[in-house]
Amino acid sequence: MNRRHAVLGLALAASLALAPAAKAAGPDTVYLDTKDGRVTIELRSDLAPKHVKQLKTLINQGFYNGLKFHRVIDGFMAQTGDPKGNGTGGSKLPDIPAEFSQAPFLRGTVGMARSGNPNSANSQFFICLGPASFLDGQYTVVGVVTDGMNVIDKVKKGSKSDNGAVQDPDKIVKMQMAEKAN
Amino acid sequence: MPLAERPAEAADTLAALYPALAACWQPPEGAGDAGVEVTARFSLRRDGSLIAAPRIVFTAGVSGEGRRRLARATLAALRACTPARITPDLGRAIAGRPIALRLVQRRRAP
Repeated sequence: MNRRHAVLGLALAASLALAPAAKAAGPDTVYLDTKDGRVTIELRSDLAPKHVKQLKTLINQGFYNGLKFHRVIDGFMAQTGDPKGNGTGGSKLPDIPAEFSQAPFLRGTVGMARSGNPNSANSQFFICLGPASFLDGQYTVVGVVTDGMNVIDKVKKGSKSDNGAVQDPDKIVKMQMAEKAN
Repeated sequence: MPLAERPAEAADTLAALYPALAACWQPPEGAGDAGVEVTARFSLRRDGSLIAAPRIVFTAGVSGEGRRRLARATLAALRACTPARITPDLGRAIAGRPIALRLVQRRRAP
């Protein structure tokens, strides 16, 4: 092997060593597909077991398939999970008692939307597009995006002057538990 | 109970009557970023029909023209959902008595 091949081989080995090891799909891994690709979310059942249990139930029912990203604010978050598509809806399952934690809201954090009542989370969730420390301890953290934030970045934005309401919004094509993925 | 699901059977209790009356209510689009609340006061006859026009006695989450639109939508909804399907027993119990119906739409958000 000549020196050029050796250098290329070493460079490839180094890049492979530095690349984060892909996490194997586990029982808390979710695939969220949009028209632009796949987002991988790791649910935090350690932080919010009741919320995660409800999310898994809804995901396995296909509840989220086709739902809109109805409220998206650039630099803040993309919100979805409402069958009514306007922020007022939820599922037939009951609202979930708050499971606030010390986990911060950073870019990629997945949180549960709620009304003024802390115990009103149901099905709507949001993915942070940037840090949102003003949400810390006020909303339930349910997961984190581990892959595919570039896909979330492409979700159609709404107008800040209209509280992020999106005209002709993008949708969740399919949301499924990774272990059952096809 | 989701507002849109109108019970199929005649209401025999107030708890069954309220969702039947609320089933036609849909706040106007854009009515309040955080959601809205409205209370209407009215009376029903034994057959579930309205005695005179309901009065809007409380609103929250809206002001000015938004409040007027919400009030109009609420009054229209009550007209659409009456006469309410109620049993004779319930009709006898509530006829002519004031009813205060509180309708709440909450938006979920961060």
